[in-house]
Amino acid sequence: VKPFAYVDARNEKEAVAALAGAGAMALGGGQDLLALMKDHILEPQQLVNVKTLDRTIAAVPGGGYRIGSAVRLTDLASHEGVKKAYPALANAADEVGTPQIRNVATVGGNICQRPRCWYFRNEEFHCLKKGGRRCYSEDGENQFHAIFGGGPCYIVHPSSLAVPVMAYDGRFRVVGPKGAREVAAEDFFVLPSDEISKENVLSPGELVTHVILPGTTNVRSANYEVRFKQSHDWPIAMASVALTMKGDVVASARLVMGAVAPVPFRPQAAERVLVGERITPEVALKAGEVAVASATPMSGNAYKIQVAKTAVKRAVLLAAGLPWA
Amino acid sequence: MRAPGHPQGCFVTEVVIDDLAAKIGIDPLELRLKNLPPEAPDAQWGKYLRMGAEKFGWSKRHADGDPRSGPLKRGMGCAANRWGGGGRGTKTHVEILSDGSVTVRTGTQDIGTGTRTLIAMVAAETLGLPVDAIKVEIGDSNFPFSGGSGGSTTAASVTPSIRIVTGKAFDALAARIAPSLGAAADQLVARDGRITVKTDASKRLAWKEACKRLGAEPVVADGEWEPGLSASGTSGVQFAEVEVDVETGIARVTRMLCVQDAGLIVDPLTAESQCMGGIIGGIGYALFEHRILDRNTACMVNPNMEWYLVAGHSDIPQIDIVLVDQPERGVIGLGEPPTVSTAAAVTNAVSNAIGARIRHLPVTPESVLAAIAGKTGGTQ
Repeated sequence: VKPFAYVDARNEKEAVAALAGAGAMALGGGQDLLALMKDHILEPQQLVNVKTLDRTIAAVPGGGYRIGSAVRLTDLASHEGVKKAYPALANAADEVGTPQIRNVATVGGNICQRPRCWYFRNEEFHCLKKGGRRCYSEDGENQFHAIFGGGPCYIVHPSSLAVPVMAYDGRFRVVGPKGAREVAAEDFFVLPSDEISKENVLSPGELVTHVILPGTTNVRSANYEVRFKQSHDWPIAMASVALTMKGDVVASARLVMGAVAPVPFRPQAAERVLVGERITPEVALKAGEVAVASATPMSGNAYKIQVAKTAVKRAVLLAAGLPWA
Repeated sequence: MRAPGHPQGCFVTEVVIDDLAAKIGIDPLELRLKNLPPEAPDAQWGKYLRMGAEKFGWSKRHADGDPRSGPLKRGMGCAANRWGGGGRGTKTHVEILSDGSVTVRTGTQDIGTGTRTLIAMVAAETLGLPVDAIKVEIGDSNFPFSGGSGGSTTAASVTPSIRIVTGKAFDALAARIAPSLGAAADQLVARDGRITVKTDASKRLAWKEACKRLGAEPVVADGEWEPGLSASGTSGVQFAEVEVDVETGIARVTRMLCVQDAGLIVDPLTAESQCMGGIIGGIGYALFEHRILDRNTACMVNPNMEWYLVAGHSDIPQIDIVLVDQPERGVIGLGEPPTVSTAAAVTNAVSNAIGARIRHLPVTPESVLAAIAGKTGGTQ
């Protein structure tokens, strides 16, 4: 690891000022950033500790929650209000890594972590994302790569929290040199075809400070994640669903899939399958099938279609309080 | 991977046996029992398969393909193993001082298998002392020669030497203190922290009292491993039960049973621990461990614990261990045998659960889904 300067930001103003420096990066729990530094993928000149910023989970008067970026995943997963109002988010937080990782990893760090693509993470491969001329996964080892929205780079989006946040139609509060702004989660992440070197709309020096979630009156929601291992593993596919109910009929639905596309992926055709229906195993299966209908698998990841379909089906069933097995 | 080459060899053998059993429509356990080689001290598979099947509940095993509805399918499989092991030259130095302390010194090392514990146990038993009365000095190449820890040879190389040389030290001690007990040296025995005259239990000295009589000159003994207290050749079988999610291809091991011999079991606790470790490693080999090379550059793309998966706590099932003690055979190593047949047993259980043959390791979701889709799995 190359030497770097370290700044303890005491508030947002100090954080923004410090992040304006050349080669400065925000440091949350460091679970992603330090690994990138040790693997010589990133060599920041200055780390700005932002764990000192808001680490509270607060109910907003009139409905909804405001979650500080510095909140640790352990605290998010175990928060009674979050578990009740946003079970998909609590579950996704609880499924991340291991207890040790969740005890230090932060909400902001999880949302803004870099892709886990093994070519991107290996300094020997000078891939597109690192300014190189090609994506090595395309004709290489792509069993964990994108089945939707890939090209010219085929990463999958790594944040487990972003998936339910988008399902709940959440927003991110961002601060930077030009002040504060809010960005809908839906508009926050960008495809590699639009932007190759970064994965979201943050400009240099900008920082996510909060996740803002709307109220969930009449919303039934769930998250389902499929992994090789029972813990300490990345999902092969995951899905979060938020169903706004009118009685036992779905009035509107937001369905988001993770680990299948370079961004949290929203298959709107599958949402339409759910609207106006009572959830049954048949409806859930249909949603799963429609959700993966437009998949374009690579040479080695077609199996992910079946896994993603199952994740959608089970998330829908769980949201409706039905057993999946 | 421990037991290099053997889990692989066991896998190709035992998976093919199950393939054959499926093809001719016979229970795979029965096929094995009908075709086993003659029983020998190191070839007890028939006995262990029957014993294991009874304990594991093999009679509840369904034919290939769990008939129950729903995405979660259960299955059972089994596989056998054999291993060599055996002992070789280890030199030992033992000192008994006038304060009663005992030091046992040899150039072996404890790589986490419990060698230090075995040394103390053997010396303590030989001298009739508690285990914590023995000072074990190992892990230094200035100490008397012992071999490397490999090939499951450590216990069989080290413990005979400890037994022999500690015995020599006791004989020397007995010779020095016998006159004060009014008995011949060969009439003295060490037991329960005392040295007693065999023919007259009233004539005895507490260990420390006896050692005090050594004065300034300690008892010192040197010697080495000899044949007779160890052997080679083990046999064992394992049973696996798995649960496979046929909608995701994820397989999970729910139960393992290991029936294993290794000659004289010196310490059941560390022997069971070796079986546990071997099985946990074997589960990783069955389901997770995969060295993935980029096909264009030959660069390993998963050279880290993030993508090179090994079983974690939540992936480890209930593991039951039946150790078969064969004291008449002497000490045989146990490090590698229990890891040999785990992957084969797990794979056979997966095939039994889904009703399609799996012929690749690791058993990934991709290979399970492919096997279900094609009802073959791998090459036909």
